[in-house]
Amino acid sequence: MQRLPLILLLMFLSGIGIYSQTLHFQNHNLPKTFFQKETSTLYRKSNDELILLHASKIDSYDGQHTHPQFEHDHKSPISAIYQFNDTTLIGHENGDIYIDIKGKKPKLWSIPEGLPRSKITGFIKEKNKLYIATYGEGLYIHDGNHLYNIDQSDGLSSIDIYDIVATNNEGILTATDKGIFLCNLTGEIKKVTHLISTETTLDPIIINLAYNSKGNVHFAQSYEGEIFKIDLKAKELKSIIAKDHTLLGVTESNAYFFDQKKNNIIKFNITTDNSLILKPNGLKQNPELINAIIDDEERLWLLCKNNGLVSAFLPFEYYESGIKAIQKVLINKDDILIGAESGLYIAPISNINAVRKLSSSNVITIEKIQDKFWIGTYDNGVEIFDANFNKIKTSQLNSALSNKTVFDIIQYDNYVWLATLAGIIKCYDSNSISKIYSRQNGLQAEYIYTMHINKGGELLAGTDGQGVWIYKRPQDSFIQLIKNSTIISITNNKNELWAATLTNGLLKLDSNKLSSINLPYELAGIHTDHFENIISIHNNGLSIWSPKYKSLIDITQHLGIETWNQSINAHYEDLKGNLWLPNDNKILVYSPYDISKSYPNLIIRSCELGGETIVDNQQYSHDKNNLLVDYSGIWMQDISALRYQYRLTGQDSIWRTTEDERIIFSNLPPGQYTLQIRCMLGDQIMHKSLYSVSFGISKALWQQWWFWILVSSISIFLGNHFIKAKRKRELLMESLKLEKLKSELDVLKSQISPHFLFNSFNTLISTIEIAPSKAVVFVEHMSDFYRNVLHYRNEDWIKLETELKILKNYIYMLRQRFGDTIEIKIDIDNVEKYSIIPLTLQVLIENAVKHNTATKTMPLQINIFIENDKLVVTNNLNKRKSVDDSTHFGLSSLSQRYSVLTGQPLIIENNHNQFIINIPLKHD
Amino acid sequence: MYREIVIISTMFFFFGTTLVSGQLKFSGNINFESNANLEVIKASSQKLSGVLDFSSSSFAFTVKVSTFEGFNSALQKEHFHENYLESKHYPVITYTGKMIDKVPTIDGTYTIRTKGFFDIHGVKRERIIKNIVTLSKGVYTINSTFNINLAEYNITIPKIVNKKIAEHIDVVIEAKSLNN
Repeated sequence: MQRLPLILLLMFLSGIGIYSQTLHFQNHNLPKTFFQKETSTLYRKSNDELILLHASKIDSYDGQHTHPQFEHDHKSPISAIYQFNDTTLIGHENGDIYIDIKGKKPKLWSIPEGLPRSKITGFIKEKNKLYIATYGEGLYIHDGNHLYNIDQSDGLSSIDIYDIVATNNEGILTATDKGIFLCNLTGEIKKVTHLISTETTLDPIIINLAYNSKGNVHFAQSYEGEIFKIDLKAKELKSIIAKDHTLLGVTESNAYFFDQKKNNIIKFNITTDNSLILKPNGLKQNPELINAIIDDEERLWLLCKNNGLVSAFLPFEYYESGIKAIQKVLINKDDILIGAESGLYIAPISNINAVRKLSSSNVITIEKIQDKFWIGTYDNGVEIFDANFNKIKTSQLNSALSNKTVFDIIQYDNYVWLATLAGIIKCYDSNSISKIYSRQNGLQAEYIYTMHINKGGELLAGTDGQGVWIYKRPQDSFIQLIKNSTIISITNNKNELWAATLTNGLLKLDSNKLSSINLPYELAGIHTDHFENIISIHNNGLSIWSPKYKSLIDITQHLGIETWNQSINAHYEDLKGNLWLPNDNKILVYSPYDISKSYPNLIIRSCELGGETIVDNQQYSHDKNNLLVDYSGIWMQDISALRYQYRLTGQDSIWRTTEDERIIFSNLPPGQYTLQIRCMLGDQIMHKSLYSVSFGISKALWQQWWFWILVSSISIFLGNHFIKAKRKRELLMESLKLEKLKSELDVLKSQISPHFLFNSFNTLISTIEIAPSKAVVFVEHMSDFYRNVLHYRNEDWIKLETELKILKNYIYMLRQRFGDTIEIKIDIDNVEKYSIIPLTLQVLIENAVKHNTATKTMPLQINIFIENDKLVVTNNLNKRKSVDDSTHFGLSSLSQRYSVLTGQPLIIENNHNQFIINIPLKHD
Repeated sequence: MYREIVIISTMFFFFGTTLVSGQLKFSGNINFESNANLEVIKASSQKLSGVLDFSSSSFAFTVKVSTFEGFNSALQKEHFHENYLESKHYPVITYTGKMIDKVPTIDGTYTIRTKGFFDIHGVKRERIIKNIVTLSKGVYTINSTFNINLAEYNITIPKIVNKKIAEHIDVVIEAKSLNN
């Protein structure tokens, strides 16, 4: 009760007025070019689409996308469009009519009689006759052979026609400057009837006509905004609203007008003539309406200069109520009872915000039983109110309840039955309990959620986990009908019993055969509408199952409530067949419409690339290249008539027609793809059913252009490097060989140089004379030496041990020649551990001997030892005056060989009295 | 003959009151051509006459069937008069009605559509006809080309000659306004 003054204050401030029923508009976010041009208009196509005209372009619109249809440069603006089958007629302000037949180039219609010269204001094609309305030349009719004209001379007082509509066999209604005329052409006989007005205040300029899909109810709107209902039988017009209204369209049961002054939508019931004011939600204050259309699916489309294209699903309205968490509603005459978590409220329907609180209990259900209102609560048992909403004492009844949670209340056999969390309670009236049905007497379930009386007049109970139980009067007990389910709600459809389970979809019991329909929702209720469709109420809105067409459609999207918290808690059917669906903060009103009129649509069951569900606009790796799509069409009329078309843009741009409900593309090459699938009905494309997904398949690493550039540049680099290195090595080897050869040559040269030989032979000769046995030893040493030289000169390395052995022969020969003037000291351990280049020491000693004089007083002292892992050869300096050049060369070539083979050259130190050579050693 | 007098006199009766305010007389010729598979038949009359009323945009044109000349043989002419058009019973062809488009008053060439009733062979049918109207120095010249579906006017062609006579007769009209 505290909230009431606040709500009233808010209402006063916001100026809502006395209505609170709302129509929800969705904005379709069209580009501004579609509705801001002077010539922008909306037309209705014969199938599911709208035609949008803007400037000289025509696009069709399927609810989501625009499809370019036609564009041409014409000096005169387009003034009327009409489509039938595959043909579009495009009328211009100068009277030109173009025919656009699908697949052909649009061309100017050519008839011998010539085209009108006045603005074309409308077309109707009916029974092989084409009716063309003009502003200035009356009505033309083409019967396939000739063109006929109806003007003043035929009784059409005004030849300025604003609008034409068809009737059922009565002719064509024309709206003119001088009222409405019914025109007819049978054979060549013309009949023109002026419809008269029952009101004297008739504004004669009629600019707008509309009719329902059956063609039996027509409405008209005058220039001043007066709305008329047309009575074709009496040939009369009945004024409904005086002025300032726009005729929006007519459905089978209602006509809709727009109040230009107050920005409201008027819903006018065509059978009762009652009207209701709807608050448009999602429509701007001054939308500047260009025109309006109601399609077969009962969707109202408005094209507005200020608001773009918006649409509203007419079978669906809602009330904004200030009450949260509404669990159940009940309509009692002009009042609505609202049961919510916070209590029970009552308000007049016409002003739902003017609520009065009746109780503070947490309400689960409300039932009207013989002028009394029974309230089932969550923790307070039942509450009962009389017809004047005074509380009736229920303490006796409530105290008898073992559990105070009452889920459902139903009247059966003159008892009131309560479904509680402790079985079913049968009461006589508000004060006494007749019987409790529980585990004690056969009902093997404690939690009872719902009760229902079926067509055969039997009482059923839905339980938690224990299925459905049926009441047997003779035994006065319940027996199990359906096992193992949690039943939330039960309904009858013809002779079938339908039950809503909590999370396992719907169950159908048809002559003891149980079948199920899966729904991925948490169900709150189930209901059969007067089209014998099963409506499921769930946490995602509404789904409708048609047992006749075996099709399920989720109309949440139709309702336009997918952006809300669309969880619906319960349902209540009023006397008119409307469903009242309490949401957490709104009360939705749904008047079941004939879903069989809905257009074919497509359900994508799975869309996978390499086993992975495709996400739109995502990139996939090269090995995900098998596309598999499973889908099926839904259509309430004849599902077998549906065909499908698909196209994979990126592969090619051809639409392929198929009956299969699966598409497979294997081994797709890398690239960008867009897959589109749509339904076909005969040759007609169902644009509205279009499904489109875009994805990309990346190239594999080795398919990338940069990969090859990288690979080739690396290989060029490496190849180049190897070749260079190889060449360098080869050069080195070459030079090494050369050095080796040179040093060998030098060694040989020096060894066999005539000087050396001469010296050796001289020594030999002198020795032969003095000591012939000694000479034999000398020759043995000499031949040993030369054999070793010849043997090792080709080797790269020689053991230091071996080298020293050869050197002994050489030293012996030197001793024989120079006697004691040469002192050679060798001080090396571990000779077997090292290797050197063959004949190194011999070359160095030779070198020392060549460059220095040796005398007894100044002997040439040569020391050979190892220091710091290097073989060191030193000699004292006593330089000769003239030196043979060749040995210089021998030393440098030896150094060269060392630097190639060990990476270290010979290190030569030349002090003023010492000559030191460091030789790198190779460790074995 | 009687019928002709009646039509002409009614025409003058209707237009008589507005004679001063703008009535124009026309004379010209009308040519029929039947372009059948086996034979082309041509016939024409120079005796087309008509009247146009500016204020009411209405007109009437008439020609006597008996004035048609041409044909490929005398027998053809006899058939035309006796079997097809039955000129004894229906001696005149008329086209009366109103202009859909305004009659021009400035020199030039215009397309003017007329909506009127063709009365041929006793059958009256509404036809809209496109005419080329040239106004030059106060003289209106009308050229019209259209065709007549014989069946629509209850003119039946015997099967034996239906390859010699076309179903649709092409009609060419040339008329000039006369200076009063």
